[in-house]
Amino acid sequence: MTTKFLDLKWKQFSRAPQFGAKLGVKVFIGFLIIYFSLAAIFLSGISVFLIEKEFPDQSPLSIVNSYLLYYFIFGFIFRYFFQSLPSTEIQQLLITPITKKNIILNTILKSTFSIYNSSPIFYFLPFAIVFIFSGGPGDEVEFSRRSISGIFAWWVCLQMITWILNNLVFLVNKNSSILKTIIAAVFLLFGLQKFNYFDIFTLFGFALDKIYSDPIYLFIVFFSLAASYLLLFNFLIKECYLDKALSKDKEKIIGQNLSYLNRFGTLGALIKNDIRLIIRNARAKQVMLMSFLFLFYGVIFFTPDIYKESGPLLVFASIFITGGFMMTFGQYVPSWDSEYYSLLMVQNLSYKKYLESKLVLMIAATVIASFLSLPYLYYGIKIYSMIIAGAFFNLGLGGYITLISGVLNKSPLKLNIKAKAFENTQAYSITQFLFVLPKMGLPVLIYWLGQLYFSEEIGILLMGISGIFGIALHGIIINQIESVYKKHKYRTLEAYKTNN
Amino acid sequence: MIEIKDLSKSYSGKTVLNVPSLEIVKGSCFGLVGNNGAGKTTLFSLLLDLVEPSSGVILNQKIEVSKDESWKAKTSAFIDSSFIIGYLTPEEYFEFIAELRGINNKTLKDWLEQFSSFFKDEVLDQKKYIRDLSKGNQKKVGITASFIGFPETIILDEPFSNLDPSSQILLKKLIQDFSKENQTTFLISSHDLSHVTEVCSRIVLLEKGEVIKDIETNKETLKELESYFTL
Repeated sequence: MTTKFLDLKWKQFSRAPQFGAKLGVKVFIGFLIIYFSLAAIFLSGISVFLIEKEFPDQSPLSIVNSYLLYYFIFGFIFRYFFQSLPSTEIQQLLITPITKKNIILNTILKSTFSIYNSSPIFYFLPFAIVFIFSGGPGDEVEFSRRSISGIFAWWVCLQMITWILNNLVFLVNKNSSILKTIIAAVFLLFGLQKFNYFDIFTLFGFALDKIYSDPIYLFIVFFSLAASYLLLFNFLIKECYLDKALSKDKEKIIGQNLSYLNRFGTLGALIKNDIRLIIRNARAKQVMLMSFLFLFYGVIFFTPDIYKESGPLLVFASIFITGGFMMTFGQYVPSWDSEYYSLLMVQNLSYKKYLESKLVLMIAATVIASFLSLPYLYYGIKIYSMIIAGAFFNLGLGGYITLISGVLNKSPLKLNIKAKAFENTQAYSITQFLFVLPKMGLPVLIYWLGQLYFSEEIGILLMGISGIFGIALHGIIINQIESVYKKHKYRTLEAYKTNN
Repeated sequence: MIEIKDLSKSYSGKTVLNVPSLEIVKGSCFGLVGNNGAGKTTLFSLLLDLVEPSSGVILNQKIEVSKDESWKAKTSAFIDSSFIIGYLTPEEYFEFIAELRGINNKTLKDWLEQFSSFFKDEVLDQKKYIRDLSKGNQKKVGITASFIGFPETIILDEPFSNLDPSSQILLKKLIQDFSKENQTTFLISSHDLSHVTEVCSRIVLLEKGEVIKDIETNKETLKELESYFTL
């Protein structure tokens, strides 16, 4: 059974269009995953020492514990966007001679061992191990004697909480009232903490401390976990029908009132469609979440002092802050329209109009991102001017580069299906890797040359001017891109057909 | 008027379509029949410049379709599900197509009235995205959209399949009326021989990419086709 399944998976993979390039991408992504896992393990391990250095009179464990609720809340939001019940898989099995009970047990078991639940191994296990083997200076505090059984219980506890969240997200995905309750509770708790009435975050930390010092309390978590499994199992077995848990959610119509875009004619009609595409499709919503997260990219690079003097690196980060939408949404133009590309191709619509509508979206997103990044003024006017210069580059040149790289990527995209972890890379081709180079490297290069021959300010200025240069040459550039799109039209159509 | 000259299409050496010459006069209804793999959809895709011909040319009102795009203003089509946008409501979808064809909203709304019996209260005002409609209703939306803006040529691939019997009969009438009123050229492929012979004034039978029969429809046509397809 399992070998049969693996065989099918292999055929699906090896018979996909552009197999060779895809294999290369997979290998590369494999390396990336290994790299990031190792980095996570390493960081998790050394964080024991970093925390000890920062807070010498406290146990690193209780410091970590006091922040873990934030981690779990964020993780839950992430899961909500990425995880969903494998309805089609269940559907296919329903009429086979396997009992419903087994199908559901199987589904639950599979989800238990999914990649989403592996974070305790990467993030917390190395921490736990290093924590045990490094004595630590905090002898006078409660955690003077580091207990192996305690840390083991702590780690098991985190793994169990991860599984509880895993089960909860399936329930929430099918039941919006549970979701509303959870959102309300989270806001309430944040509010209570803000006004110092009741600090659930610290309390959660204390609870985890308690698990460490008294592993016996683990049984509470264990019973919660068992209850969550039972709840999920009962829910699924009761709702295992095509018109219940396996049904598509009843969709509310959103984004109907966009008539103010009517005055822009064809361009407005196209933009209207794209806005609806973004707010009405699961995959697009995920991408929007990702592009929002890009806004915070700067915090990583601007905060530590070690990066303060390395200008090119700061420029690199600045490009990301305003370029999130361009990089996440933009790189899948025209794949977003793959489901109905033939329709667009026979309409009374020029490629130019089509491309310009996408460009307008990317420019609008870049402008919005530059406003949202105003808080970066906190890091000083120089950093913010880098961000603005980066925004100019993005909207003046980055957009064009993105459009060209998009048409070379001929993978169709399923709009209303959530991408699984790392599946976002499926509509990704080797050509796009090559195009990342000018998109990220060019502004850094311009800045670096300016800084080398003149000054840092001139470097920033040149980067901004390069964008204005692009805007000025819009007519010429867009015609060139149009001809590339035309040249690739038949091949693009064919590629979108084969997978749809 | 559509003219096809020396048209052929082959995939890695295998010829799937070979039409030396074919003319379709304006205002006529042209029916295309043939078993699976006969090349019907390929022919339509070539007419719409969705695939590249291996040789030959197609002229749509004297415009070569693969060179100049101005034929798109006067031609529309519904081939398959890749012609509808699933995340729009039917109304939004119609508005989008109307905008591209220069029809304003008010005109569109009035014009859609004539489809009310075809839609049977299952398409408009449903507060549903097209992707959540049944296959039959999705098809109705796609076909109706191809009528928007009074195109001179409408290409429909298998318009009758997936529709319930009363909708099939209504669609036949819609096509006939529309053709009469607007001098629209219809190109229709179908597996349903009785429907296609009833609607179309000319039937072309394709097999393995070649034109086998080219008949002006008369009383005997249906019998002739049925006997051809009987093994």
